[in-house]
Amino acid sequence: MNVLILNGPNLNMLGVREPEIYGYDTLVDIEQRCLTVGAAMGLNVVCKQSNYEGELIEWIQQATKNTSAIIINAGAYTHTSIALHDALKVISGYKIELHISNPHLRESFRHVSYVSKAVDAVVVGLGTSAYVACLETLPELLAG
Amino acid sequence: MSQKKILLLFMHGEHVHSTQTLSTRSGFAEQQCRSLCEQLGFEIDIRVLAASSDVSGEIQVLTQAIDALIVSNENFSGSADSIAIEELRSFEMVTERGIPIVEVHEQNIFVKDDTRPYLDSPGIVAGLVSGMGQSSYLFAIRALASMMESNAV
Repeated sequence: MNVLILNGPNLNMLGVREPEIYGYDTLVDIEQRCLTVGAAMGLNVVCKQSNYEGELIEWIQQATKNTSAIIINAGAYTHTSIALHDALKVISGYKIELHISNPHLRESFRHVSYVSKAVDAVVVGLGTSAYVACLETLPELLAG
Repeated sequence: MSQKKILLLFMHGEHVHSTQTLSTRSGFAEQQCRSLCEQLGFEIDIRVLAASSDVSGEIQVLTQAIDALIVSNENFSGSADSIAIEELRSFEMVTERGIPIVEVHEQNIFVKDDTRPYLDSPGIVAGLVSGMGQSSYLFAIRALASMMESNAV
């Protein structure tokens, strides 16, 4: 089972950027944990990060045929990108939107998500451990 | 050392709160939640608050000796119309005690425009899981277990 974990703009700065909000884990830490857990579960996990909207969209389009699930943290594009929304709508696999913090409890410009309307599930505010929890829950979700 | 305790609280349910009545709730993955908690080394208490009860008072009593809280309100419309100030205040008091809260919805409530979380208050620090069906509860348990483990001294 192929699982794509996509991280958007500024998530490469985890561990440095506002650690009081996002914590001290780096993206490398998170990706390594996901790869380890995924391998133990028999999942083929691929992790990608980009600060560019078009690159994220291309990766989503490439995943259309062979990916069972996408876990996406679109960063600030969450609140602006109809293009990401449209790309995700094409994907037939299971789609989870993830945010480390809870955008609904932050600035009002973070309260709108174009991604939420194009995914199956939304997970926010549960820290960096939510990535692994998503992987651990995927077999139940895909079986259901 | 005593086990950490998670409270799974169903808001405004039809049943008077009792762990015995939950098995009658259609499809609820109660046994899976209990098994997962046992596997992770946590105690879980599952309660349903009736709409007619003193909800704020009940929340204060039920959350006195817990380490984490999962809140489910499947009757919530997704708009800010149905939660009383006193009810929010009760959850704010849980946050003030440093107890992590996760709001759970079986459906993806954000498909609708202008949807707001049920626990929508600057005084409440809560995570949210929405759209994983019955697995939403299991996800919340896993995430809370991981959070508590990483915060353990």
